[in-house]
Amino acid sequence: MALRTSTLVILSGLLITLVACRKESDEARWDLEVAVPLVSTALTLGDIIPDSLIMEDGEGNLSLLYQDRLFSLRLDTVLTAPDTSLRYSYVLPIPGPLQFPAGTAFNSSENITRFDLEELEMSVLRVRSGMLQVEITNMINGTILGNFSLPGATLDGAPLAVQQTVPPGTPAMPSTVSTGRALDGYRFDLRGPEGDDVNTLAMALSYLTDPAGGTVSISSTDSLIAHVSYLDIIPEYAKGFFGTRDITIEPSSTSLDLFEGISGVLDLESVSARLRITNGIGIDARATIGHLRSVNTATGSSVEMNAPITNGPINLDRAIDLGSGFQEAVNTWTLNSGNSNVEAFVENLPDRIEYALDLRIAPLGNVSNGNDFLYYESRINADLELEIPLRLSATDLTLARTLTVDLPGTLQGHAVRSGTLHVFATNGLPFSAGLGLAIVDEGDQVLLPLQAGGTVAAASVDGSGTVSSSSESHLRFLLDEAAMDLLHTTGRVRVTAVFNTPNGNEHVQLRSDYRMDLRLSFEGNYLVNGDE
Amino acid sequence: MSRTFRPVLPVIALTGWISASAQVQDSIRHDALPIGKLEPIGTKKERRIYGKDLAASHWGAGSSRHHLQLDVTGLYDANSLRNDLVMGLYLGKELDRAVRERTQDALKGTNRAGAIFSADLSYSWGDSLFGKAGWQPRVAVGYRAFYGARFTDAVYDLSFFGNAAYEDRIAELGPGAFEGINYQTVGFGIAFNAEAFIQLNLVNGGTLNAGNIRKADLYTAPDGQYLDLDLDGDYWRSDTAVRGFDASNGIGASLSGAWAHTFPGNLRKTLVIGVQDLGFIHWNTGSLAVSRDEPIRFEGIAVEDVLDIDGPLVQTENLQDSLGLGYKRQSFTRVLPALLEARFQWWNAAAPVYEVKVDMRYLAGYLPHIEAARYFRLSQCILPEVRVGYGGFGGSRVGIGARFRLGNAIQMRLSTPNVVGTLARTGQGQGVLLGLEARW
Repeated sequence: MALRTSTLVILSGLLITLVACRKESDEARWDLEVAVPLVSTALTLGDIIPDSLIMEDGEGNLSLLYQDRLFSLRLDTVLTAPDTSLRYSYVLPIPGPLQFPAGTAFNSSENITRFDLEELEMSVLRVRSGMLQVEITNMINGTILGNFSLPGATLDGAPLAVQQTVPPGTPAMPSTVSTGRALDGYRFDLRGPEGDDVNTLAMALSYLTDPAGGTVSISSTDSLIAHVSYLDIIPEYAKGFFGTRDITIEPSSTSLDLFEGISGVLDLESVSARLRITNGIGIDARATIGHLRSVNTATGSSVEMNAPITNGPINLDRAIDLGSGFQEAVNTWTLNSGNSNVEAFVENLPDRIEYALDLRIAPLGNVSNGNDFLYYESRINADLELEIPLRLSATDLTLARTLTVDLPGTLQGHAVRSGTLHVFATNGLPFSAGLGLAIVDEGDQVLLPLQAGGTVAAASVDGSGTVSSSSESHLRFLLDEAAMDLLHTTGRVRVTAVFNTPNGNEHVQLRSDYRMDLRLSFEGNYLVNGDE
Repeated sequence: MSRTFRPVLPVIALTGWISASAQVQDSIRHDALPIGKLEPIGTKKERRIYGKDLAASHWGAGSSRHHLQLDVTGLYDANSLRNDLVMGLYLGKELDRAVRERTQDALKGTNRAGAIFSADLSYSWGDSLFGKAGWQPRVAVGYRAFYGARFTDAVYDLSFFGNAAYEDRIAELGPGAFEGINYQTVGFGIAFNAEAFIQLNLVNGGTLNAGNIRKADLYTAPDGQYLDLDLDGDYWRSDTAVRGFDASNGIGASLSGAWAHTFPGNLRKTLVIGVQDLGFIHWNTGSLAVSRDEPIRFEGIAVEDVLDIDGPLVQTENLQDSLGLGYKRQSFTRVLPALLEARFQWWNAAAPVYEVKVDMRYLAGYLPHIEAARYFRLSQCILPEVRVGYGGFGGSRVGIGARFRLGNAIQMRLSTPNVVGTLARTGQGQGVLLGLEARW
């Protein structure tokens, strides 16, 4: 076969022509006038209030149960074991010198160690962590074996003992050996050798000339010095009497997210609150609440709790020692409309709770005869529980949330050009909702409110305040090109809903089956392949 | 804003490649076949005029010891879509309203469009096979990409103008169908005495995107509050995770062949009947298939928490749940867009003079296609042709072309089946055909 050059030229030209017909860009663009549903959803109370906070009774009536921890106090200041170092010295009581054959024991002594723990009178201490350091300095010209033991400190029943071999030394050049021993888990019986003392630990220290060495000559200028140190002791458990102490909890506050983003007037038919203080220490205590205050930082208003618990000291029962742990004592005080201003406290829509109190432990002294106790995990916790039956009236009760909207496209190129956002609502909630949308900046400052907005009508309610029929509403929000550009710039939309119950201050009961069905649709100009 | 709205059907059909378009219906041409020991049988005058060199030319070439043939065929055509719209889609241009309205004015109720690309390289050789003189072994490889669609006016309106004009109205989006498929073939067969051949192909399925809509009435509620779709249709798609020229999402087999018969007489007449890709592909388990015959109401993407709408909007599963479209991954078998063709030719001397051809391809939007051709012999090396036809993806068409003899062994064909469409911006359809054949 003979292919001519002309054939190749023609074929090449055709291929080039075909390949040259290429796309200029990825995708064609054209605009559409669309009317499309976007989102269908239902607004329930669970969307506003977390489900975990809502309780339902047998009839479907809802209550709100909210719990917040005011403080958690760990009494590590009550029980501290300071580092303690003790020195034991041995010197031959006569001028000497005396000859000590190999393997001769001398200075076998039993002693007690008394810890200086100020007001604490401990009989038992179980160590969570800590260190025993034994250092023996030898000025005798012969190897000495030192034995140090604490008969009252046991781990699984075995007493603590430390043995050291100290090389020969001289008064001018003593030799020193130091040994450390972890005390984790050791139980210290601090009742002393007789078992009737406190803060006292029996100790034994003895020396022995090296059985494998020769005879050792010791004179009165020679000595043996032992340093015993208890370092970084953290108690796991302690028993005894810890003294009467006053602890001041400085004015403090805790945040409350229950009413976050909500403002306006909320009138509740009833509220009850429980102040629960659990005592995890085995010591009686007495608390005096300085103040318990509801603070709404948005409005600047605050409401002081006025109740029996704030008008005088309250006693806290002690925990029960179970041997391997403890059982907290739960002390609860109930506040209601009859004994406090708790309604006003809650209706203030607080975002902070401020408090201050003084705490006295063992206010009556050593009434347990030295059987107070503390565990490492022991705490005094204070919790505030609010139980709010959702039977209420609302006046301009405003819920505002800022949504970050991740729109497709960019400021320069986005498919949705302009149009109208329609909101269709079927409202089964017994209050109206004025809806507003606004494009906001990073600081939540309104840059452009979207017109026209409007109000979703309240459902009809009967004489008992129960919803009898839902209402239908249609709201429109105009999204012109400027608004769309701005929305792509900030990507943040603030949704505001202003709720009002239909008949003024008449309370309505909120039920679990109440809901507002919402459908959002968009009608406007859409650029196909317009998202960059 | 949801990014879910997007015109799909026409785009699938129209944004396929259309650049290297040519005419597929000639893929089984009389001269693509070794059609026998054709002797120049014209009158004595004709023989005197054209000389003995024509007798040896391959306008009606007989069998050869070696026969290598390359056919690159393709076509874009439509019975209503204007070329300026289609080219705008392909080239990624801004489609202004005037362009879209020009096609809208040309809509015909039932609209069709499609694009075909087919490239084949075949080779047969030898003097005998299995002891049979004139039989030749034959091997071939091929690549196919087909796009076809049949759609209503409303589909076009919604795709290029949106559904706002259909608020509180029903848009009839069916009946319709679309299919986009590409695959490769490797074939082995036998050529019989240059009069027929049969070839068994192993088929590798590349991609598939097909739908058959028996009914799709779309009601747009005022303000777009909801959409009601009364849908009766099926949808198939190959695994989209495996794409590209070398993708393999299915395997199949097909049969291709042709048979030529020469009628005796002074004015020779030949009949050629052929079939291409009569077979199937079994698409693998990564494929998707869904069949629906039920009304669907779409009220927007269902969101549990109205105050957290930005997260789940663009999640595919969420959208499918909202639409009630649960795609099921499964394997399935679909037949290939096979081509059946019959061609009748009248010959004068060594070249055809008239031709009538009927073909049908099993592809959405493709109607039976009939074509009549007249050949004009200008010299021993150039054979121009004029064609008129109707059917296929388009309507009435006039085409021109020419065959060139390059030396004693090579023949080339270049033609367009649609002169007006190829040359006019506002025409409908375009096409170029290229064929190359060598015998020695």
